[in-house]
Amino acid sequence: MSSAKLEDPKEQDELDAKAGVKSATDVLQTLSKAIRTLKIYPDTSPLRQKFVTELTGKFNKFLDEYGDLLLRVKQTEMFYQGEVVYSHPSKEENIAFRLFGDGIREIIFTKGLEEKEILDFIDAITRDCSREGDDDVVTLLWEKDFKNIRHIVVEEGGAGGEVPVAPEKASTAGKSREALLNAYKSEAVSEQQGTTILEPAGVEIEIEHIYGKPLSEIFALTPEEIERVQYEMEKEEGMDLISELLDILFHILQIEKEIESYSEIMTNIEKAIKSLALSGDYRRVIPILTTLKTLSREENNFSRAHAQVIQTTIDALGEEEFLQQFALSINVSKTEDTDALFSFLSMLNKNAIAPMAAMIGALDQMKTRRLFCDVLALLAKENIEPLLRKIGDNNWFVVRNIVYILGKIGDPKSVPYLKKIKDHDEPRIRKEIVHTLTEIKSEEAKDLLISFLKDSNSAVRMMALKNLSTLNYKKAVAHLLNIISGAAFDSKEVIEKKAFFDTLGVLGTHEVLPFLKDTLMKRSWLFGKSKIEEQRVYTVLALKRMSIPETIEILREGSSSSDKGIQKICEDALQEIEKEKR
Amino acid sequence: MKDRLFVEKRGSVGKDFINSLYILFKTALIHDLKNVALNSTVDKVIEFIHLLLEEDESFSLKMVQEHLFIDEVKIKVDIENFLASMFLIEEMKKRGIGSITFSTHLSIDELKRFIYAFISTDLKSPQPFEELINKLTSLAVTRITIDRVKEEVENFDHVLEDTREMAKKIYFKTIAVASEIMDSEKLKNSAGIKKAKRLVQSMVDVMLQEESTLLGLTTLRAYDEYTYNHSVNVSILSIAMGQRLGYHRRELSELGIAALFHDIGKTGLPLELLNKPTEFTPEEWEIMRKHPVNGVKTLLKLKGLQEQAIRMIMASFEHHLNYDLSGYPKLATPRRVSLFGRITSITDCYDALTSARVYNRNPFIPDKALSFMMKKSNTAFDPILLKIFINVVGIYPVGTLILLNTRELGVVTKANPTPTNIHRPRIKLITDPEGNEIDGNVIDLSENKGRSIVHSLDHRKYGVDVSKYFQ
Repeated sequence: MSSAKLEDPKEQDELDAKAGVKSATDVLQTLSKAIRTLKIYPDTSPLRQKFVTELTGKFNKFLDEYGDLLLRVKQTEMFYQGEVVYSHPSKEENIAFRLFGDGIREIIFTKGLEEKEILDFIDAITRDCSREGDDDVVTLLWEKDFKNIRHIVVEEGGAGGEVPVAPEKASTAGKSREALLNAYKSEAVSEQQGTTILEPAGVEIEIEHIYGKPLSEIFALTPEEIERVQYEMEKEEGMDLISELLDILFHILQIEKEIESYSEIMTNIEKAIKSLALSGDYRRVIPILTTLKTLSREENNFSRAHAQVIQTTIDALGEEEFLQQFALSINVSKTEDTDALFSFLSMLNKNAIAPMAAMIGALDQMKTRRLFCDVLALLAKENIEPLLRKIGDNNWFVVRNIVYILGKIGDPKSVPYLKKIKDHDEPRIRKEIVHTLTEIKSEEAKDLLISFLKDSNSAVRMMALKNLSTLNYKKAVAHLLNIISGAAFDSKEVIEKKAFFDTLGVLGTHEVLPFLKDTLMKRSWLFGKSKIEEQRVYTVLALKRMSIPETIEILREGSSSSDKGIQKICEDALQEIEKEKR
Repeated sequence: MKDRLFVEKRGSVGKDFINSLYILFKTALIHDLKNVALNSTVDKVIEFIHLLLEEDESFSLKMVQEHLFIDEVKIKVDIENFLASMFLIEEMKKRGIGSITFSTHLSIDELKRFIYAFISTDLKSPQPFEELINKLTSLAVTRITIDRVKEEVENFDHVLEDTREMAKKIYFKTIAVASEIMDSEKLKNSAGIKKAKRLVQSMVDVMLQEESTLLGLTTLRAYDEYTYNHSVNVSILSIAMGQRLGYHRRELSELGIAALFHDIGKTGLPLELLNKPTEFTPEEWEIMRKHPVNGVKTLLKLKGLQEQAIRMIMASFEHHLNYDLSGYPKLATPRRVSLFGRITSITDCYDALTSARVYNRNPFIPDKALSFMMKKSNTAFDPILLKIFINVVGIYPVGTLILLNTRELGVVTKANPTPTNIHRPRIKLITDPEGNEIDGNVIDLSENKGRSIVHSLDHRKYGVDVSKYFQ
């Protein structure tokens, strides 16, 4: 049977045609799938590469077997040899719809099609041309300059539908003859009468005179000239166009006195800066902002009004809407250029303080959050009110960051606000407050710091103890004694108890000696023996820490006590003191 | 598609071959046959010869009407191969050689013998071609053969009729789109710019095939729609210059668009000002001088910070600056004018000088315009780019009405591409020696030594319509 079919060329042709159509359909289905995949997966995804390789393979297999793939494009379908080989129900995803809309009526793929061409083709047909502004698929395909993909476009009409042509000239043949004869009589007859052949008197004589050399030498390019032009062309190939634009805009600013025009130019400079910042190019923004800062001073500009326009532009960079976008862009880019980012942000105006403070929480990376805090510490140094307004924020991490910044600034005006949140639920905030109060160092701050000795969290209390020691705040002694003497002291962890006595030793003066002596000399009976012995150990720590002659006296007295426990602990302490002296 | 791919590849290898052959000739002029310095250059030439012989057993380097061909493929002259092309054309002409054919199995030795025979030809002899033939025979050079210059013209005339028709269509469509764009009301959307881009791309395609057609259409200057004609002409002339510089397709398109929009800053200027028939007052000049900056603002509104827009902005801002920054706007600090800006400056000035306008019904004739511009070389204009421009359009540009030494009148139809023959373009004879109108032949003055140009004529003065010879 099959051999009978093969022998019939017409039937064989039909079979081949059907196979061709099937293969073309397969290619376009694969193309459609590949387009969807490329949208989802990143460039580096192996799955993406798999789809692209498969698509290239299918294309080339078709082209090897059947020759050129010529597709006719209709509104929502594509045809191969009169048969539908592609359609899609969704217009947004329909390739044919996209091509047809821009005037393409045929697409032809030819042998030798490369993977890069296919990827570029997909890029051209899937690009969002509404955002691109004035590129459509046809112009994009043209720019790709494919070797193995061609397209046929339906011609567009002119502006009014009709293509204008050169107007018919009123001159008739007779007029033309007359005109030429007049020209001849004026120029050819009057010239050099009596001669058959006229001598040259044209512009080349004038040019030779201008250059002082024969015409043959004037217009030939020398190797040096060629090299110079090539050098300039190479230089311009790598030209940074945004910098060129900004250069032009700044030139205009230097000459444009009319305020409305000046503002218009500044609006565009603002757009350029924002574009650079959002793309992570902070290094290029810095010199621009530096120039703007200079121009924002009245003495460097045409007038106050002009200087104010500059200020407004810098203010625009500190507005919430832009900074929110900016925060998102930082999260995406995960920039490593933190120096440049810091420099850029610290050039913003004060209006940036509140929005920046608000958006710290939106930043994914800790190092970026810390950077923002450091910038805010700089920006808000003379103006902490915007920060203070955020201290009651619902997000604990925002509050903590605000507290941290206040610490870096060290302004005592923040103490009353810190007092308001000293009992915040979040211990990390209270810890941060302790740190900040230590940085502020005012009396009020230190007094507030003392109150954290009674914090519900031991880490907070320990930090308060440590910082009070660092500050050498003697006022804390009475509070320390009070706590140590309290009933709740026993329930503290050993490490904390030690810390209290240690701090007592650092801060204590003669007034605490009686308490320490009493505690040391207390004899231990059956009940409460261990507690007394424990306290004795802490007391000796305190006494050693104080290290004044009176404490040595107390230890000596203790070393000759009849109580073996007291005796031993004091002797050991004295020996250690001796050792340390040596 | 295969043809296009073939032509492009052939053209590219052909360019490299010509460059390497030029270097080989130059080296051979300095060093003798046995010198080692020759070896690497010979190897390079052989490499390209082998590439060109991949398709066939032989290929020919041909010179036809001041152009070089590899078989049927024309080698475009640009900055990269300018010196090589001019050298080879000149040397082949001196020897009366029309083609040099290279065949398979060409050895390095044989190539060297050919080169030396070539450079040692006595050019003062009455028959240099025969002399060379004899030398090649005596040196047993058989794999390289030479043929005389042929008189035929039409075989390599690449201006096909449909190309001419397509060029006209594109030209007038672009004028229509330009008029749409310059209408300030319609500037509110950028649909016109999209259309313009497609048309400029089409212009680039036509120019890459054959530039003289579109260049010829720039002679249609007699109409009142000056601004629109002007923008299109400046675009065409700029693309032609860009081609000579060796810009690729995409760059040519960008240059063409930038040139098309160089005067967009004039939209929004009062029509009474644009059409004022008399001299501007100082205040009016002040307004007019704002148009480069206005163009910047307009383009920013239309297109924002896109790469394409920035090149257009550069052309708009810079086209009146002048090479030495003596133009306008007057800058407070110096700026390097971009190549696009310098190109547009030249083409804009040339077209403005040669166009009839409301306030200037007697514009310059093309060669006088060029002479005027040459006096401003190195001040208003980049001297090298101006030279290149004149190489492109010729000192008697397309459309110039000329008087020949035989008292015939003619119209220039195509510039001569070689600088040494820049004053000997291709012309169409339009009168006989008695002044009678004829539909004469197109002749190449560089090959017709009996005729030469006496001077150009102002066709408007006599009411001669030169544009009809290009439609």
